[in-house]
Amino acid sequence: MSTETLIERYPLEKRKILKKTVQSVFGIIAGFAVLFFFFLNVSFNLFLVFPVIVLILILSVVSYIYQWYYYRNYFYDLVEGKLVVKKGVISTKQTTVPLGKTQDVYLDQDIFDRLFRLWDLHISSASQSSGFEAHIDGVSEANGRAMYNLLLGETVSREEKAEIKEIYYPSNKGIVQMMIGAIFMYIVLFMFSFTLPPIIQIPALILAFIGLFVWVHLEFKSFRYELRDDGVFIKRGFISPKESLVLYRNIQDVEESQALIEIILGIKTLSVKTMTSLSAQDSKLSFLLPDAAEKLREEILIESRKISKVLEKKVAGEKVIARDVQAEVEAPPPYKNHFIKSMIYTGFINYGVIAFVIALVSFFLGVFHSVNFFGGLFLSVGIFPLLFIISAINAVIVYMTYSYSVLRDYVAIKVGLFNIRRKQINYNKIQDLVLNITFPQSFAKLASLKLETGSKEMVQGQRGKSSERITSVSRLVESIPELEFMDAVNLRNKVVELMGVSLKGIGMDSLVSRFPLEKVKPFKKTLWWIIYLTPVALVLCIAANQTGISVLGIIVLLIIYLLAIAGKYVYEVYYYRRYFYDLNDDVLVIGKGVFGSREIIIPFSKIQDIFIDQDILDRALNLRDLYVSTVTGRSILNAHIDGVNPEKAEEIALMIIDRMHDR
Amino acid sequence: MLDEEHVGRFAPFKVSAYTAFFISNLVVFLIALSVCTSILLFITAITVPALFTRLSMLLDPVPFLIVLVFILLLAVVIAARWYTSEFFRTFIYELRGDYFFSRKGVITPSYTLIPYNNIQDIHVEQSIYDRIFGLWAVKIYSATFSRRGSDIIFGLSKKTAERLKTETLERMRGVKQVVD
Repeated sequence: MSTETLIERYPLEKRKILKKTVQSVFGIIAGFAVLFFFFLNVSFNLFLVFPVIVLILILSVVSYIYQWYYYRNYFYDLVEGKLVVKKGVISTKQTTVPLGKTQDVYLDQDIFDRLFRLWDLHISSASQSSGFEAHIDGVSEANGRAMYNLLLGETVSREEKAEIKEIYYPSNKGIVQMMIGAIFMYIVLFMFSFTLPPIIQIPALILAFIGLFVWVHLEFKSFRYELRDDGVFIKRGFISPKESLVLYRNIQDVEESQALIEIILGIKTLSVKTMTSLSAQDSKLSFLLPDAAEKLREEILIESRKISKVLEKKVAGEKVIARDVQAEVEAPPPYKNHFIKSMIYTGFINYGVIAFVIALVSFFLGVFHSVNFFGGLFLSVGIFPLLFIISAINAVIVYMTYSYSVLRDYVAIKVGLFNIRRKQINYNKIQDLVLNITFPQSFAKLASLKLETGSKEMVQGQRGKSSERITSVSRLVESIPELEFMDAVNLRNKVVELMGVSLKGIGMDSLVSRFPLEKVKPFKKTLWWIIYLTPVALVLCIAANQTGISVLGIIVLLIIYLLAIAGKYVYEVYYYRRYFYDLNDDVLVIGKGVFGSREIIIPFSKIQDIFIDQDILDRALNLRDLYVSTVTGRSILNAHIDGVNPEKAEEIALMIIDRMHDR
Repeated sequence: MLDEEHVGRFAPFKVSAYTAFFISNLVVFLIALSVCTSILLFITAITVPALFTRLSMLLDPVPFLIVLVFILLLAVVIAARWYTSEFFRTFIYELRGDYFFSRKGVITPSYTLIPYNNIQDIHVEQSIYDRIFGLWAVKIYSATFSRRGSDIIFGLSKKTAERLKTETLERMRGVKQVVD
């Protein structure tokens, strides 16, 4: 190993300073333009133009100097398998990513980069911030590629060296889809062109047409997908090219999707998702013919399983994996989904409750108030069938389109009428299992099973930079809903077994009996309820008084208020009694809920960190909340044990840590 | 139990960390207090306007207000000072056998435990504010989606920050495992 640092071997280009300056000058000029056109109502003359030009020049010089310092302070190196990136002039940021934690690697360019022939290298680990903090921007192409290979060489072990196995090109039908987008853009341009004089308008339109056509063609030609030994390689983009490598071992799930236009054209999009937020937008393999998509999907899934099995064996030693025994393939769904039944129950109960409340309020106002609002009764009768029909249509659509299969190696779930999505989840990537029973479902004896992976979902039209907007909400495509209760339990047990963990010993001498919740917990919850409810009740009473309600009415309001508090207390007592948590050597199980119930199963190997906290009432009553988090977004909602004694909380935390360490 | 287990802190915080944190607390407390008082005054003025007229008849409002503001300011300074010293007194971060541990908070302390093999990356940072006081912060990230997935240890000197980083990485090295 040579002693020179990475930055000495693969330096940043000097052009980077210029590029950044040009970029900011563009920004400054655009800012001035906006200021003058929209906000300042002045006419142009020499006295105005001159200072503005001077100002722009000064700002450019300042930004050049800043960028120069930034360039000087930039540092990156590879120290013992860890990538260190340091940057910043006024505030400094230093990021250290162990390469073993790398999720995916990207090489890309934006338009300015392209003009200055610079490349950006992104290293993304599974944490939220590394996607946009751990990147090296402004290297030449040769250096970028050399580093890319170097980092990947460190990331995957030597015997899995990157070699191209198969190359896929998108189907030519894709160009039609891109053309449709271009035509829309053309229509917008067409509208704008009317502001131009006719002599320029017609040639400009012709030019724009040719330009768009060429652009679409070039963009389309730039798509290229490769299956390599270590991951899926995706290359795309002509104006701002992007190359990314998604490592097999990090792929959480593979999702096939078909929007309406894709259904018509007969092509599919495959997305391979890792835990990074960047992958939500960048790891799409679009414009694939169905056969190619299927082949690619299977190969990716096989590769990703293979790699994780190798790793699993490395970690677990000679431990025999249970799923090898389970060889039978069950292509048709083993248990039936009862969408219609659930819809009927849910519709009747939910909308029934809404209608009942409306009726009650209007009755109350009608009796005690001068308004005489009996019309609400009719409203509640009218609103009921309307909402019911809407949900019925929805249920029928889901009933017609939803299907799932539990295969030996993965679960596949398909859903959607005009936007078809089919998701494949390898068992070892399931983060947690939630068995959920809602209030109406408990009447219908139904339950839903949710399988959560940690892949991130793009929220419409958002760039990956703001992690806030990327959610990993649980959706239909990650769940098997509306099963008969016993079927759901059986299916859960089966999936748990296929995941390679066991539920043995859960429920016997459980953790909740050894470390029970504190008795004051219902009281504390009720106290919060009182704190929230009292101002509302006060405002309501004052408002009622001022709009001329009878004294009897106010008394009834107060009685309702007291009843609400009493009801909350009873609810919390039941909640407290039904709270369940237990652990064995493999999993942590937490169950709760009064009207319905929610039971989450988390294998210890998937737990990322543990967090104990308390709010102000917890502090007063000496209680603690224990949170367990996995990479999924929803686990934080379900996976907590709240209202235990501090000592117990800490003991449980240490128990969990011990078991995590055993993994 | 968790916080009693520690033998001693990793390294003391920098002295300037107290000043920096005190100033930021002061600002936060001032804003909170002024918002609270104005809301309170506003509500009183709407609901019981008589109270105000009665008060202004009894007292000269100008010196009264000056005294009130002075008392409030004093209270805020004392509160911020107490909070700061208490915060650093109870702030614990440690590298334990299997996991990274931290305890943070005065009135409602919270505990974070991240096993070494789940740490994803480590950031050493200095914001502009930190730069004035010559402070550094270390952020330790795990892969969770929740906001609590990261732990921030601030108020360190450059040397301590670097040491914390290297020692954490040192401990991470023993355990090489992939998240799935």
